[in-house]
Amino acid sequence: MKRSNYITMGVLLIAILAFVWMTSTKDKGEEINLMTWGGDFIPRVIIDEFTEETGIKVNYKEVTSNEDMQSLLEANPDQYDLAVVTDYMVDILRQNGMLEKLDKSKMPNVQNINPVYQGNYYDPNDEYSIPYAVSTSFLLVNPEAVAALGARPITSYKDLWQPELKNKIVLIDWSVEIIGLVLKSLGYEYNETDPVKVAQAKEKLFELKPNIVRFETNTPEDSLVNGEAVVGFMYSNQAVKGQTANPKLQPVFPEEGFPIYIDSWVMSKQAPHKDAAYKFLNFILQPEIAARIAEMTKFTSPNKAAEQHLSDEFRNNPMLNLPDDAARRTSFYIGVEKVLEEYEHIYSEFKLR
Amino acid sequence: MTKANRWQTIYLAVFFVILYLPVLSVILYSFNANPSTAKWTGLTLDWYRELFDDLKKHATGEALVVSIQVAVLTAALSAVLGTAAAIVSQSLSERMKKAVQWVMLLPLLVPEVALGVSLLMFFNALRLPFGHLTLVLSHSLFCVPYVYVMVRLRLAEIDREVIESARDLGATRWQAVRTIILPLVMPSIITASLLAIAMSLDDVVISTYMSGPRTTTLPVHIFSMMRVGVTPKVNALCTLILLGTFLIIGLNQVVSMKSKTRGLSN
Repeated sequence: MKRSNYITMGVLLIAILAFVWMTSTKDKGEEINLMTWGGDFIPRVIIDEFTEETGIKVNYKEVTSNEDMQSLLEANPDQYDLAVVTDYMVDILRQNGMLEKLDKSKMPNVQNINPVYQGNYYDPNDEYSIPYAVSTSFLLVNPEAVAALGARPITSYKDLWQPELKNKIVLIDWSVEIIGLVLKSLGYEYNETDPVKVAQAKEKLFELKPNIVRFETNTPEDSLVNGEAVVGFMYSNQAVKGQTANPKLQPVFPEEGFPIYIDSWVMSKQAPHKDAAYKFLNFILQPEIAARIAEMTKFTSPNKAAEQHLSDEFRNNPMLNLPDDAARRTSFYIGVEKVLEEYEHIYSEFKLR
Repeated sequence: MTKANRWQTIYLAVFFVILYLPVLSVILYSFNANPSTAKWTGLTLDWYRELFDDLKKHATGEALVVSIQVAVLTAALSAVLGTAAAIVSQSLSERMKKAVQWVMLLPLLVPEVALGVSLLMFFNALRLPFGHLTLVLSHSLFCVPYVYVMVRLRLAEIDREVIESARDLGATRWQAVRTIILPLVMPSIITASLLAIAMSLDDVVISTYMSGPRTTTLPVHIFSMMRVGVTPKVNALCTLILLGTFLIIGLNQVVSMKSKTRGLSN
């Protein structure tokens, strides 16, 4: 190669870097930057309609966890307008002073939100967050198979301890959820710290061991579909998938109560495009739009006015359109960090048995 | 076959089965008509069709384009920087060489999350715009060491007398590098660049922090689907990526074979 070639290569390299720099800095018109999970958690079709209607471009930053969103938001609070985070993360961000107090006069459609999903511990006065997607965990049951084993029909967690269900239960594999289930079956609350109650739960948990055929976090519904298990404790979207694969499977919302997760919109205190962000929030809070989002993402919509726009199939499925009376029996996992170490300890002892 | 030999064969067979079984199942399930992995209900190409529809729409397609752009630029940048570092460090004293080697390998030893967060704060302080630029720079950080090491190894094989005679015959240092060293280490540079492309395409953690509000890379895009649930489309996508990886490895084999035959004829 000649010297001139090297000079060309050098110039090329600098040009590439310059080009890269330029493309990442150029600003085009009005826009908002939002951040949350991908996989059409916020459907692209809906975003496109918003852009068409208002001319505001939406940049959708996809992340993999609440914790990623926290680090990104805390490092660059002036680069993100909106994020959708889970309940406990709203609490953390709010206490760290990262969140903007929302101006409801700029988004009148916020009145469509179902009060059942408001006033929760992470935002008691509904000042910082707007619920977007509601999900739960509960029992998915194959009633015929349960009867065939000679067991009582399952209506509560207590029924899981029946000896007839030996090797017939599948559980999601997380200490806090499973110990939570046992605590509920004893009539206690999630994330109990009282050592007497925890010891009681531990004993009860160990008694459940012979009935468990599998621990599976990603696809627990498959164990019910292939007949390995007759009852499973899993997340609502997994239960929906299970029922689609086998219509005989039925949800059971346990009498003792069950966990809920609410993913909510929050706005960065230093959001660079606040007005455009309010326009976006108001747009997706419209009943028809909220209904379409629910149908596409298969999460329960916290938008009460959206219900009449849902398809019959969606509206009549309690897993997808959680009834209000069931929603009142739900509770959050609060203060996980306080119990995690002890629960993990108990849980690993339990799994090793 | 001796007894020891048979055990070796069995060991290797088990090793490869365990290693590649999950990969095979991904390929298999990308053709499963049932969306659940619990049941096999026949062959289908639906997931590939859905995937291509997806690629045409912006999200997945855009992420793929970003990933490829970043990977190629990263490979180019780290090839230049790594090779230059390897050549320059040759003329250092043994102690300095060791020190440089350590510093070079440091980015590989630091946990990715720590690297990601500290780069986030560093680039933030420099007021660099997050996007392609920060992605390329941060990916180069963990790709340069590979180029450096591979080129160093190749350089060590080169007879120093070849370079010295070139200098004796009046070549400048620069001419010697250009006409003798670079052509000799080229196969290593190419291998290392291909490795850099693969590593850059793979990265999730650092990319999450470096991509800024406007860009998303493919692996981050896939991982971020967890909340909504992964569909068999992802199996189809992984199968295609696998195919691409095999293609790159094949290309590399061809290149290294060529260079070997050339080495012999020299």
